[in-house]
Amino acid sequence: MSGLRFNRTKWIALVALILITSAAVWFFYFRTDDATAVRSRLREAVAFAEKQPKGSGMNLQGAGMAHGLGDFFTAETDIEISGESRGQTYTLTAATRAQLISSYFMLRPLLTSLSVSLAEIEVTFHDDSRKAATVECSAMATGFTQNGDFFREGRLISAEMVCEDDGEWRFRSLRAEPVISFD
Amino acid sequence: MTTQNESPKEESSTFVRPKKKLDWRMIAIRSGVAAGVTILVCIFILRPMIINGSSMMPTYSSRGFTFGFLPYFKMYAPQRKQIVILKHAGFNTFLLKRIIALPGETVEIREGTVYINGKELEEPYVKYPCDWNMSHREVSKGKIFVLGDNRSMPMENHMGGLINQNRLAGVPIW
Repeated sequence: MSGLRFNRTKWIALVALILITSAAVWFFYFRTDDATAVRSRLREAVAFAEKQPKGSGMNLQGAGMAHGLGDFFTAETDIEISGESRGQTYTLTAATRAQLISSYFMLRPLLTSLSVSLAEIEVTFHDDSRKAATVECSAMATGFTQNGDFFREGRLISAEMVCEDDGEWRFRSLRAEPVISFD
Repeated sequence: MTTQNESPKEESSTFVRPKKKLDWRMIAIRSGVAAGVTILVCIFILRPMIINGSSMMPTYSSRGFTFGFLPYFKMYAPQRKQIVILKHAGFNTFLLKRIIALPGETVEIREGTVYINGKELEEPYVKYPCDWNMSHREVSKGKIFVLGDNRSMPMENHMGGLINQNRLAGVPIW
């Protein structure tokens, strides 16, 4: 019967394989450098913007969103969702933190679910102090409106982020533009 | 007719192979390697894709299937009238469109007819009536102008126009 027989070389190879795999897992998932902190903040912000049918309450999500946006935050987006059931169209083109959050909460009840996936995240630090960074990525939002219509919207996101005195990375500005457009 | 001399010859050509034991470890390793190679090829070279939507009809019908050849634009430059796969957003959504204008060119649409640098573009692949109008605009450096073959819907409902050239992902192989 040919079973797995381990001689010394095989043991060394196995241990080396385990070490390499562990190092790779640590490098890609658990390493905490500045770029990872920025990416985590971005993912956190997206998680607060998402809506699941049985998700957490609006207040909790609002607080989480506000925490991630800096005091001098500005936004420039063209995200538009029509709420035909209420005869309303909300457009997320707010300029300040408070306006963005209030627009988002006006828009949110029109959706049954909203999930956002980020890809191609690129972090560029402005200088060696690594206290400010530009983040570029693509985002795909999918979900259902209250009318039961499925939607899928893709945007290119460009955000300016700063590391504030408390060591937290916060958004200074956010720009969302269509991936493809006639304009 | 069989002769007596032929019979021993036939017998000598048949033989029984000794029953070989299956080496499950080798089978598992080979299957693993084959699966790994297939996954890598499907991710980086030939990506299987399901076509969802009618914007490329009648060239591609909705619910069709194709493979995207992803390294294409690492070897060749994009060309007008070429059907291309574009990265949309997220990991799993791509757009299938046709290149209409290249960087530095101007594009205009009048009553459904496309004009490139003021000259009418022949488009035999557009089979459905189109009444779109779009004022003259220039394709800046690093961008391309793409459209689908089906322009029967209102222009606002069609996903097309200017897109960054770095979003070219590949070409469909059929």
